[in-house]
Amino acid sequence: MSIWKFANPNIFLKWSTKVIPICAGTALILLVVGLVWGGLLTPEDFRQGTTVKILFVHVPSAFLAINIYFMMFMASLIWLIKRHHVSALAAKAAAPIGVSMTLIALATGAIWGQPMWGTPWVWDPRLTSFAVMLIFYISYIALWSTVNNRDKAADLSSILCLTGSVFAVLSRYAVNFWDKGLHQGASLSLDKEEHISNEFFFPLLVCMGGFVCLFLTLVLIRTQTEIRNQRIISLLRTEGFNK
Amino acid sequence: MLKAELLSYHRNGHQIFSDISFVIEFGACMLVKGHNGSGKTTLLKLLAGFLPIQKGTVTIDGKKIVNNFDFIAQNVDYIGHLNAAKKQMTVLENLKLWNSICEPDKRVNIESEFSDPMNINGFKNQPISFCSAGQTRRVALSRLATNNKKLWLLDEPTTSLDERAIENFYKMVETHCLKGGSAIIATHSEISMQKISPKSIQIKQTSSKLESSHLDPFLLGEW
Amino acid sequence: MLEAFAYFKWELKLIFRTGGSLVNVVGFFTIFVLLFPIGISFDSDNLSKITPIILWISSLLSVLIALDRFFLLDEEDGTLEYISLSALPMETIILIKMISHWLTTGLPLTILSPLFALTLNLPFQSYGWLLISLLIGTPALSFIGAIGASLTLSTRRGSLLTALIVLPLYVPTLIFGIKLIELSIIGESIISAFLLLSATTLLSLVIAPFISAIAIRIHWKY
Repeated sequence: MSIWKFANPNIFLKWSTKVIPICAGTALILLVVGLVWGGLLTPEDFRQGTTVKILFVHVPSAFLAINIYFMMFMASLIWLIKRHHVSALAAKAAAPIGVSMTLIALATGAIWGQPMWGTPWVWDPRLTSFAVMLIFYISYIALWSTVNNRDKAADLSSILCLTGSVFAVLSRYAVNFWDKGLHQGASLSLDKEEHISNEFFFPLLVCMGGFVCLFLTLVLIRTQTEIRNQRIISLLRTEGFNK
Repeated sequence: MLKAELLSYHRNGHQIFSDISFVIEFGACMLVKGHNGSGKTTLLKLLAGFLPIQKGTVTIDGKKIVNNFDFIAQNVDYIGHLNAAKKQMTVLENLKLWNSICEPDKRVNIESEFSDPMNINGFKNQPISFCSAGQTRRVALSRLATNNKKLWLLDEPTTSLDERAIENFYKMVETHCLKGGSAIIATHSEISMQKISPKSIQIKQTSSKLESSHLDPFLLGEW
Repeated sequence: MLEAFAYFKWELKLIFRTGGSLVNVVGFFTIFVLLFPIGISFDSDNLSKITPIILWISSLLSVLIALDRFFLLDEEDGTLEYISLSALPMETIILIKMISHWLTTGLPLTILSPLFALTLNLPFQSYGWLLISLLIGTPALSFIGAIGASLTLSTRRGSLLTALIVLPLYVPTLIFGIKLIELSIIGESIISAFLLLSATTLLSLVIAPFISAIAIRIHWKY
């Protein structure tokens, strides 16, 4: 009995069908609690006013945008080493969610930046890193969709993901080196001194939990869809319909 | 000696061939026969290391060839459907390159030692772009004589060759075998050689449906 | 070693004999460099500030355009399969191809760049650093390009996809390369940018042949 047993497409479908409602419910509860608490019950910031509340969407989506890439990295690694098809499909399923999270982070940032910085977009290191990451996601999706053979596409895009992450780290330092930007420092860090005050911190944590659960729900549903899709392709092939 | 045991290959959920076994001693020649799409090219590519060996084993002199690219490169020469000749370069330049990127001890001096088995001397200073399809094929086959490798894998080598060239080609294969080399030739045509009698194997189309359900993880189990 | 040298000579000869490849690269470079001032303004003060950016982006795009034939021609006529059975390991073959690609794209652009910098009002003290920046930076463009070209080999006409894959990977090289020239214009120490640019190039030199070899073998495998 090993954990890899769950990676069998069939078994994965069974347990994920049970897990999805739990994840979705948790996501709903956490998001409602977090957003209401953060949006309505926290005081206004003495400098930024009400606009600070966009933080409860901005920070979790930015956090996910980075970590979804990390998840894809792990999934690609597992595919290349253990050859579990679900792992490759999960990476494929996560990429569009990563794109949307990056876009949400960029959009909320722009909405917040307009009144605060006077401009929706500046070529600041963090913003630039996110723009680069967006292209990473898009090129990953593009490679998946252009290669016909499933295993070949999985192999090639896994390699792209691994190579990309090396250069993503490098780009991160490069853009920091390029310019010290307008963007404030980390909103969250383990170092107590740095992060934001407690009244904002706890609702933010709830929101992040909600976003993570939302991501889990979405990625499980999308992976299920991918598995069913592959199953259809395989069935069609054995029936000879594609000839 | 090349020994293949129970080779099977599947692609895109289809069993291409299954359980092919053969032994070929050095100094012998083998013909691979079968219908279009029966997997002749696949078998040759498998032996040349371009495709992974999914099931079964292939050994050359008792040494496994799985992922042993250097070992394959030392012993195997492969000519597929494509001629790998550069259009911009002359025939001689192409031959010289192929010769010069070989192992040093397997090289043949193109100017003096080259025996010209495919009779390409007449147009050796022509660029490949001026050569006809048959002539280009002859250039590609001449490369076998410049490299001195033990095992030749030839995929329908006689395509677009005229009768005389085909005769020359079989003479070349014969000399190679008599010198202790061996050749595996995928072909449709009958072959007549005087000094050696090639054995042949037939690749049969397998019933693909039954086995493919075992291969594709998306068809496993109850749904 | 002798084999590698023979193949290197062959590869260069092939590029020169293919006709037009060198002219294409230089031509594109010229067009890009010309388009920028027309698009921005003829104000020379403004121009000199963005000269490093113009030159770097122009060379980047010119190299990018020359990428689509990196492996494709060799794959289409069977050469790639054949030379993989030669005495040269796959990785060496790719390394040689990368270097000859650079010699016929990045290097001519580097040599020509001071000429174009003259028209773009680059401050006098920066010419040397411009040359050095392109000289160490452009090899990385060819090396990383090899990764992109090998990954898109299966998609045939994938030159647009190659560009999409390669562009984000070019970001560090581009930033360090431009920064190096900019620092020299304002007269600050360039050592950090210089070291980081060299590091990026060396990193891509080390990983590119192996990744490309794996990608090409995957391309054959299915």
